[in-house]
Amino acid sequence: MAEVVLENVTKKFGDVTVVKGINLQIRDGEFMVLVGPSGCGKTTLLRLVAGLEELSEGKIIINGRVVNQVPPKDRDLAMVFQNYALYPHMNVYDNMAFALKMRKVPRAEIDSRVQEAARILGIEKLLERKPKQLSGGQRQRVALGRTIVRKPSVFLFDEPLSNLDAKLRGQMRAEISKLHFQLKTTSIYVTHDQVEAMTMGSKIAIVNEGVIQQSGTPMDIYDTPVNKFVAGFIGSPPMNFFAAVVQEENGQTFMQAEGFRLRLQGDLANKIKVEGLKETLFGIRPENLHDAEFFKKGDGFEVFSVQVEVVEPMGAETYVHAMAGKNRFVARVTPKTRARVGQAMQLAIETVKIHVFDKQTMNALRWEVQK
Amino acid sequence: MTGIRKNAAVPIALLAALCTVLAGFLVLDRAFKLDRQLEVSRTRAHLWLRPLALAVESGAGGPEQIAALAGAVRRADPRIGELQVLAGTSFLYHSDPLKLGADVDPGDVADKSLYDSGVEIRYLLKSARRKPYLLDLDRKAGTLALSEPALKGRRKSVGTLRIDYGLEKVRGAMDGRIWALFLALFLAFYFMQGKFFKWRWPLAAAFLLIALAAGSLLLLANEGRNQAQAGAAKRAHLAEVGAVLAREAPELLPVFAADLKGGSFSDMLSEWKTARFVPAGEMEDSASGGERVTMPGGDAIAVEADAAAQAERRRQSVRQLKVVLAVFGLLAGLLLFFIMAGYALRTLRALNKHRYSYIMVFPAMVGMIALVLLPFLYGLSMAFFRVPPSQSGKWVFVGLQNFVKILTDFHPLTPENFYFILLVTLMWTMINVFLHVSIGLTLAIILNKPGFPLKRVYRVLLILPWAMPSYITALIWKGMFHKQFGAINAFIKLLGFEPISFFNNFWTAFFANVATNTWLGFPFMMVICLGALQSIPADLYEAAQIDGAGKWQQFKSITMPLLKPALFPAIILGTIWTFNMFNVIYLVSNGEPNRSTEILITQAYRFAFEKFNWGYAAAYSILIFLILLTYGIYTNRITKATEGVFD
Amino acid sequence: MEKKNKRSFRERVIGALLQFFILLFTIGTVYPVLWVFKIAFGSQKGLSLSLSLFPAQPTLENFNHILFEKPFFIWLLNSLIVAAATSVIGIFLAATAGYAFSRFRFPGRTAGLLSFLITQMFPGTLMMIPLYLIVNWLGLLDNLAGLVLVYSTSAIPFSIWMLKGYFDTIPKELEESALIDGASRTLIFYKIILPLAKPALAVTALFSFMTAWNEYILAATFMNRELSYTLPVALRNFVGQFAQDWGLFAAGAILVSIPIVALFFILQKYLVSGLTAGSVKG
Repeated sequence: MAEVVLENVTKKFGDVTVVKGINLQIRDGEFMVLVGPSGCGKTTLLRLVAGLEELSEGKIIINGRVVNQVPPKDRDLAMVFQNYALYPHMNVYDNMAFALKMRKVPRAEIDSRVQEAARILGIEKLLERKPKQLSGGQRQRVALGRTIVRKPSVFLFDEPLSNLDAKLRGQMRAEISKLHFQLKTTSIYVTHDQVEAMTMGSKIAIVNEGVIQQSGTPMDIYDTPVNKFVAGFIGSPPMNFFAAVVQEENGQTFMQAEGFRLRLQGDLANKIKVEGLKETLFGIRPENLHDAEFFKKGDGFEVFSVQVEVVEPMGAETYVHAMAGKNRFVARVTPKTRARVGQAMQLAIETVKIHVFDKQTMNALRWEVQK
Repeated sequence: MTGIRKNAAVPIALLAALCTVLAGFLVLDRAFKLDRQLEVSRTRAHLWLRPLALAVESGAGGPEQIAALAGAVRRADPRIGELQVLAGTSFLYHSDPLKLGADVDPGDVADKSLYDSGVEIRYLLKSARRKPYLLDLDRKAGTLALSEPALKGRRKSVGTLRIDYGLEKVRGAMDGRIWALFLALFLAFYFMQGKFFKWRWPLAAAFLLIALAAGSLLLLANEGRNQAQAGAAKRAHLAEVGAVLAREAPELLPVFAADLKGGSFSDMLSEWKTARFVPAGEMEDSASGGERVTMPGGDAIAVEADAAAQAERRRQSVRQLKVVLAVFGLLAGLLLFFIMAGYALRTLRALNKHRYSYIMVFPAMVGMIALVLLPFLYGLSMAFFRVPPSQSGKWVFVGLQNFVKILTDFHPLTPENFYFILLVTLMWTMINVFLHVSIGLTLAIILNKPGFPLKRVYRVLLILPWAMPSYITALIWKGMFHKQFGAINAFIKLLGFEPISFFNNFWTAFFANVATNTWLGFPFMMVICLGALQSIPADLYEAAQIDGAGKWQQFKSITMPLLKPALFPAIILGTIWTFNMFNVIYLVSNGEPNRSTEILITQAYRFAFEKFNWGYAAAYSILIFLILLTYGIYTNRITKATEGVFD
Repeated sequence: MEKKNKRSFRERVIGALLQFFILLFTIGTVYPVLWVFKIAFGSQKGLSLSLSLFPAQPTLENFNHILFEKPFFIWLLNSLIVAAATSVIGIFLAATAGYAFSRFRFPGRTAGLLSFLITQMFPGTLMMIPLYLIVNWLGLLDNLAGLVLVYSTSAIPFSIWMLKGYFDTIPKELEESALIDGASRTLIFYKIILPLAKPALAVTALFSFMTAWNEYILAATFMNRELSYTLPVALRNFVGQFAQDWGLFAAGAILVSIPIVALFFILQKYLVSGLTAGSVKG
């Protein structure tokens, strides 16, 4: 059990800085997911923690010990690789026992630990097979098993599910979560899939261009993204963004976007005035747009008219791709909707759920929702 | 942290440089010491032998007295090991009484050592050396052996003397002052550098120069003093010898004194320009400078130091110092410079950081350097000499003459002409590579057809030539082309023609070579092509078919482009191999007829091992190498064949 | 319908022609080998101009002569020792260096790789005299060790390139995983890399072995006593300047070729993969 602290961690490859001064604390027993688009530096960050890359600047502290100069084997961590990195010439048992043999663990204990791990993962019957004779999911399990027999203080996962098909991925996702619940080992999990991040992480850190944009619990990040990148990255279908201009009329504050306009109230209106924002970008998640026909209109809702372009019934809900002026967006509405392609429809927008970003910095404006 | 390291770098650099200079001084000190040790010891041994030799020459007093004198000499100086006085072929005196009187005729001597010394002495007698001769010098054991002739007149040898003498201990020129100087300089720098931080590098260089200059002066001064002491020691020894003579054979003293300045021994006694016997009563004439060495009886020998010889000796010391300064001073300077430029630190760091890599590469590298690079450089240097075909012969530097000779021989197209052979070689290479690739590719494409019957069998049979040893293949084909029983001629006869002597005509001989090499080489290309073809995904062809591409178009726009990355390196490699394909030419046509089917490499071989013109052959080979290197660079630039291999 | 029939007919004709062509070519390729058998099993007097592959007077006289009247087994032993030692030493040197070249980025790496390529262009004639002098200086003339030394170093560049190419294809994650698991670099090399590189090692060993087994010129230069000959030198002398004993040569050629050809075919399944993954990687 351990705590991992990154202090000003920086990595340069020649002239390119891939990781730019990252500070992050992963508490004991936490499941931290590093998520970001490919090439954002998240895998490099993981490899730095593992000791596979050398730090350019900063400190990595595991369990209170600065490990900058400590070789990977002495950092007491285990890693699951994207392509599993199973030794092709060893059978499953030997693959799982390898690390323990390296550490001169007694034979009997190796055996009991491997058997136990195999039982947890349900691969007891595969122990004699070679990796080549296993399916993708089975290999994944062996790779997991190889790490848990070690009983390390930190688990590292490098996009472990990206080579699996969608169904298996969902299954393994749940299994890894279950495993973490059982073992409660501090884990760092790297993925580019925001669904994995949302579903698995007890904490998420969103990485872009070598910098952590935001970290926190999944719901915190979902509800209060700090900038446009985070807002757009988390959530599926992604958040809709509109460019809008702030207008004052008769003491009331409006946001004028192309095709519609919103009246702002309460704290949001105040904050915008205080900040003196003129040009803004505002975002609204698809689930905060409703089909006005089936929704009680009331305070905190604005209704506007849009042109329907595509209708995607998903069963439990329906995605409507529509246009207002030149703005294109997606609404997640009730399946009862009568939206038809090519026709107009009325959408209700939950004004308390909108996110406002400064158009220059792309940072989110913080404001209080009035109860 | 880095600041501390940088601060430490300068003193460390200076320390290293100073140590280098000290190492140089120690080397010089040893050279001085050894020279002086030999000179002093040799002179002492010589001074002991000289009166004995004079006694043998004059025959005065008869054998008994000579033996008595020799015994006295031996007793007088514990450093004397063995002492032999030989007159004619028998010993008048021998320090080993058992050998006394023994005949040294090697024919009937049972004792090995006696036999050896007998042989040695007889050799000396026969070769009639007219000067003292250093027979042996053993620094480890601390002994030397000196022989001295006894002459009648200036020419006729009447005897030989031999002495084994223990080497003197001598003082070195290095002393505490020099060590202290260096230590002081270093400490001074160490404490000063903080104050002159900006100028610490020039300061270090200045300190190094000071150390060099001051150290050299001290060293020279010490050596001068030591040589003066050596001179005094020689005079003291002269007194010692004189004392023995005065006691045992006073009549020899004047002769001995007169002999001291004898010109023929000047290399031993260059210490003294003049030497004179001064009888006991005679007063010193104040006119002549020099020193007087007095014997117990009151007689004395007056000697005058030879200033010119002393000056020459000093000059020699300075010369040695200069060499040492040049080598070690330069080394120290470079060391300082390199560390200054941070090279040393960086190199060390790189070495340490990548030590695992270097350790792994090291064995292979050592092998390559010792048995590939060194021979290559050796061969390269040979090209600029006229080299006789034996190891003992002397190389004669001829500059570019070998190359000029090869390249300016525009003799009409004869096989001796470089350009003619180059032409043949190019033709040979191009035809072969073309045939290898086209045959290999064709076969690969046919065998790669899905469902082609028996393709595994064919494949195995078709790579048979590659599996066979190439010299056997070549010789088999030589047999196949044989006029009396070769299969080719059998086939020709079957067609109704007369059997051909293949190796009597350039074209038929060339054809025989090409046929052999084609047979030898196509399987490699076939295997390469097969491997590459199998790695082309089938769906590419399916896509092309759907797009309406015909067989030829598929070949042109899918197969060829995707084969290229595998094929080009193979072609380049194949070209180089064929260009240097020694075996086939040498074993099949062997240059027949009349050396016309030689290629460059076989011709170079002939120059080396049939005409034994090693320098010329080396130059020839260098030209081959340059051609291939140009080709390699050129193709590499065009195809970027090795691109990505360095990632 | 008709069109389809016509097309398959045309394809069948082409197929038959290709089959015929390959058959003819294969016969042409194998013929010289069979011809050697004919010479070997025939008598010296029976040599005549004939395409037939059966000797006029079949006899074992040539085999008898070479096996029991010549020091054939000593030559064989010489060749075996030299070739085996060459491939073992060559593999050891090339595997370690190839691994370093494949995995590590260190100063001098590119220069090293390039220099290995360039050594392939050194003409043998240039190297022969210095090599002779070196071997002589080491006192290894007429000694198998001298040949082993020279052969193993001359096989190194090619072997290193082959092995480096193959090591490049082994995923780096395997080593990283092992590093995290607590294995040392050396252990990773022996326990992970070498077992995985078996095919490439086999091919490289085969090439080194063949180089040594087949080399003729250096062996002829270094070995002067009949009893220290390797097989190529011995065989060559049967049909050299002073002898024209083709029957003896043919018998010897068969005896020499059988083991190497057998080895070649056993390892040939690795050959294509080893070659295409290695030296001629795209």
